[in-house]
Amino acid sequence: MSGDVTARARLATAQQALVRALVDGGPVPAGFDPDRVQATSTALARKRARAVANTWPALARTLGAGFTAQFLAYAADRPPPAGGPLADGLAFARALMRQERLPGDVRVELLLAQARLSNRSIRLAGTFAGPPCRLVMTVRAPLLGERWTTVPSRRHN
Amino acid sequence: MWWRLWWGMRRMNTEELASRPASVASGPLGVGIGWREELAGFIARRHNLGFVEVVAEGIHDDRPLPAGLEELHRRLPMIPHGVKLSLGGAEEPDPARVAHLAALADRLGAPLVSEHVAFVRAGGLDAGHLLPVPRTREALEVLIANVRLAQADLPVPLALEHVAALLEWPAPELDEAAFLTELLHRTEALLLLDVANLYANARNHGGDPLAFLDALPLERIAYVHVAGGAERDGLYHDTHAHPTPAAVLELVSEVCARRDPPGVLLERDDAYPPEAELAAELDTITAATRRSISRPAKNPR
Repeated sequence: MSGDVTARARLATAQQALVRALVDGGPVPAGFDPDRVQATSTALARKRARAVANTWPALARTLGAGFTAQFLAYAADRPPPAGGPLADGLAFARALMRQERLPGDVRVELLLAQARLSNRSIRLAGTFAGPPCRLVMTVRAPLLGERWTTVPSRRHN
Repeated sequence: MWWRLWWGMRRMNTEELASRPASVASGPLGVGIGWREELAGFIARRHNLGFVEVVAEGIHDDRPLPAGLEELHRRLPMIPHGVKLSLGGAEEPDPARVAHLAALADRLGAPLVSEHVAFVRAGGLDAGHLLPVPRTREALEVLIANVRLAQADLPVPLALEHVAALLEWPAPELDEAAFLTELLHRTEALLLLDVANLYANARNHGGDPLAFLDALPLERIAYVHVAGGAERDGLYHDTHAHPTPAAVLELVSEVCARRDPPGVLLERDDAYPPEAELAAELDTITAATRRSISRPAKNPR
């Protein structure tokens, strides 16, 4: 280790406490102005929200004006994932899906992202979307990459 | 180290000189803009740009350059700008991230690379943005050790940028100018002076931006960052998504009155305006580099 080991350890402890307060709902570390820590936390979450909105356009469009507020509520005690805005938006969409039914185009977006992020070498998934009502299927396979196809359907959405 | 920087800039400069329109600033790099995918068309069409900065983490070593960058890099100096190295963190910089920055500098023929005086992760958590470093002697020593480690593996000089922050660490032992000055002297790093960050911190924490300029080793400036921001809930946010305020442009003039920087670069990251508006903003920045300041230059260095 270059530099004083105990200095690094002390700095690590202090920085961890601050980052936890900012992105993981942790307590404000001693000596900090709580308002400024809150303002920074909100600014970080807003930046995350913008990145997710850019990566997940249908999701952002669907939630419209409520997108930012809903994302901020979601992100308050969930640190940004290692996978960046794609994984962040995916987790957000899944959380929304558990609460309510997301419209078709968002489900398609979700499906494509799941295929892209999947660890399995072969993956097949589908969802109904519409109108017009159709079955959208994604496949991920070696050499093929991620592909999707649409089958018209009579199922009511 | 210095000759490499200036040689690099001179090399680019001679290629550019013949076609360089009269509207660029007097420094060797001129006025530039941060390259973003959304701005690729504008940047390709804008003929009097002096240089561009490319976010290092947005380029992959094993993939071709994004559309437009390949052509552009034969025409303009490009500076890789890292945002995730976390030089101010408690851990040593990740060798893979330093290697990426080094490889990118080689690939782009960059005269230098830049990073931040900041940390972005701690204890396995990623903050998602640049956070300020505590201004203590102890944190400064760790930062200096980290910067030296990075420099050892970089093929070109490293410029360090001070950040904007809404919060401050308790009990600072050094003011920001003294902290930066010691960092730059002891690491021989260059300074990426961000007048928008300077303005934001002065608004949010108090302090005199001109006194800050007078205290810094301005001869170490590699280039200057300019950006817009907005006020929300009583605080000034350095958004990079709003037009550059007049007060920030005034700081550009103040810097130039003290010492002409090699280049000035606009950062725009979101809410991209129509091309005419962005072009006008770049022209305004160019004008600010030339505006004469009535107060005498005070930098004694």
